[in-house]
Amino acid sequence: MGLIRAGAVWYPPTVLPYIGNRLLLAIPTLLGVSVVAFFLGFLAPGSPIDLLMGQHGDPSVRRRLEHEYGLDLPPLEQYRRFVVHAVRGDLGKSFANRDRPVSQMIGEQFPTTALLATLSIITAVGFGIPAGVIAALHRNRLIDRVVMGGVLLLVSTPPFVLAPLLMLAFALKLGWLPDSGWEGPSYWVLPALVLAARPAALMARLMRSSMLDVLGQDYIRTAMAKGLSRGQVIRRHALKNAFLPVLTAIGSSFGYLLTGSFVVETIFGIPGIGYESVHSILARDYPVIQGVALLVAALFVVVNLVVDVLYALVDPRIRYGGAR
Amino acid sequence: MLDRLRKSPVAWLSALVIVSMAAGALFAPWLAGHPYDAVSRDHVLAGPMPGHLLGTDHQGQDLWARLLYGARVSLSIGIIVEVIMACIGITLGLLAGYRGGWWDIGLMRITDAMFAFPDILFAIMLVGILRPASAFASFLTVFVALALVNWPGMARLVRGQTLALREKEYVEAARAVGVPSGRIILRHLLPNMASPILVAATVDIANVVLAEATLSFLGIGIQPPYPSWGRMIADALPYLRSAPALLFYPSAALAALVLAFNFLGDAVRDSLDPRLRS
Repeated sequence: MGLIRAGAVWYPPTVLPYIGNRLLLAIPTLLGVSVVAFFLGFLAPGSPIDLLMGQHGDPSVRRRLEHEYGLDLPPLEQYRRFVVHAVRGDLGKSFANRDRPVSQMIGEQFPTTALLATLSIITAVGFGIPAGVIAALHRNRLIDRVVMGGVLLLVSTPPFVLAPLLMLAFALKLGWLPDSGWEGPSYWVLPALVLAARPAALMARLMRSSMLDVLGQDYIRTAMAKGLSRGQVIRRHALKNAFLPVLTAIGSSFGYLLTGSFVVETIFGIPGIGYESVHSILARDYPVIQGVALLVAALFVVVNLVVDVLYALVDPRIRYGGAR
Repeated sequence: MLDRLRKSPVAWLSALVIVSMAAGALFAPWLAGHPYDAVSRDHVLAGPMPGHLLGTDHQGQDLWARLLYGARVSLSIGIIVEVIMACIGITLGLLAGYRGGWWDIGLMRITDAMFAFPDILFAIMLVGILRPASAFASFLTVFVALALVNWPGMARLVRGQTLALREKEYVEAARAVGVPSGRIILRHLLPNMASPILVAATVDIANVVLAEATLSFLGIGIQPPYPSWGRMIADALPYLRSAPALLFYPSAALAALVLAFNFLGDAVRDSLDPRLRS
């Protein structure tokens, strides 16, 4: 994000080279993540073969398995193969389920997690932004305090506390919604709400302070002085400018959504990447863990890039490239 | 500054919650009435009764005792991890900000890389892969993993503060009369950045407590039989309908502790914010 600089001079928008640059810069990040993800496995006690072998003690079977997974090669050669294969979209095979390529597994489960994350972001924006605006417009009055108290309450309530409580209330006691599973829109409501809680709270807090900042600016006073009504000033001038910092927050909340999906998918029994990852971590299924780590890092890079480009599109002061 | 803090009822209430939980954790062996892993076969999933203040869980373990010992886990991890990561973050932040050069470039690249990956996910992977067998090793792994992923934020904060402070006249004056760097850092830089560090640390403790609970909830944090609130919540899920109390107590304790740290952090920040002074 240090790459976007506000320049005083007009530079024609050069979006494509900028995106290309950013993607090039993503390569070292992804390599770094791949190194960590790969070599973490070597820190683990015991050999992954022990997991595959189960009760078998046959050395010939062991050798064959080691060869099949390339575990008989020196570590650096193993890593080289891992990267070369990963570039081609091949993330290896799961230890727990030998017939299942990791990339196929991720391909099957990712859409579910993506849907859940998207629903949560929409919910978070839908609740968080208006709440922040309302709090800012009623600064230091009761409604502001209620909103800000609610923000802290939601920030302090982890998803694994919120989820069972909502499940108990709306599924078990009231019976309005299904308690777990992933079979249709009614199953989406509780998980999306739980996952949206923290991002919504953080967005409300940021939107409030950003709105207060903007409302204190000279151009707002100018607009008021021109005789525009308060509502017009807020709608035409304040909202758009106050929204800018929140855009970045939406991007960074993706990180939370991914981690949160681990917990939420486990509680609600949703067949997504998070659910699978927790199982793989508990089973020490390294190829799956490594694949998920790479996927998450790649997603992060893309999401941050999209946010930065959007940011520049919304804020005309920001230009791409090396303008200083 | 402290006046405002002293007058804030929220700050007082938060401090009260933290102090009473700390007291509960400290004196757990005397207050609990039962060892944390004592199993009572006759009372499984029992409600409050004489001898079991809050009742028992699915294994017949006393809930009150497990809550108190769980407070030990949450608070000790929150505070010790915070101290470790504050030490790492402050040292590296000062070096990067004051020395500059390669220290600065190195630190910024490393923190960039760490911010490029969701931190708790990294902790989950680290702890999940290492998966220590003994209870002691599980504590150690959680400490290391959480400290490792949380220091970059503090380092960045201290670096920024150092860069701003080192240009101040009084620092320049001290340098001009030949005060050694170590003394400048200790006497002039650190005391002047103490407040933002304090605010960040208070809120960070809340996040570390939450992170530990998440790890334990997922089954890779503190290992049984030692109780952790996160683990207690996970264990309560199958009994959600029949014994919701199993869920309520650890959830309430966790939320209250985290909320208290967050409120306290906010109150300290407000009391330091010159714009809010009346």
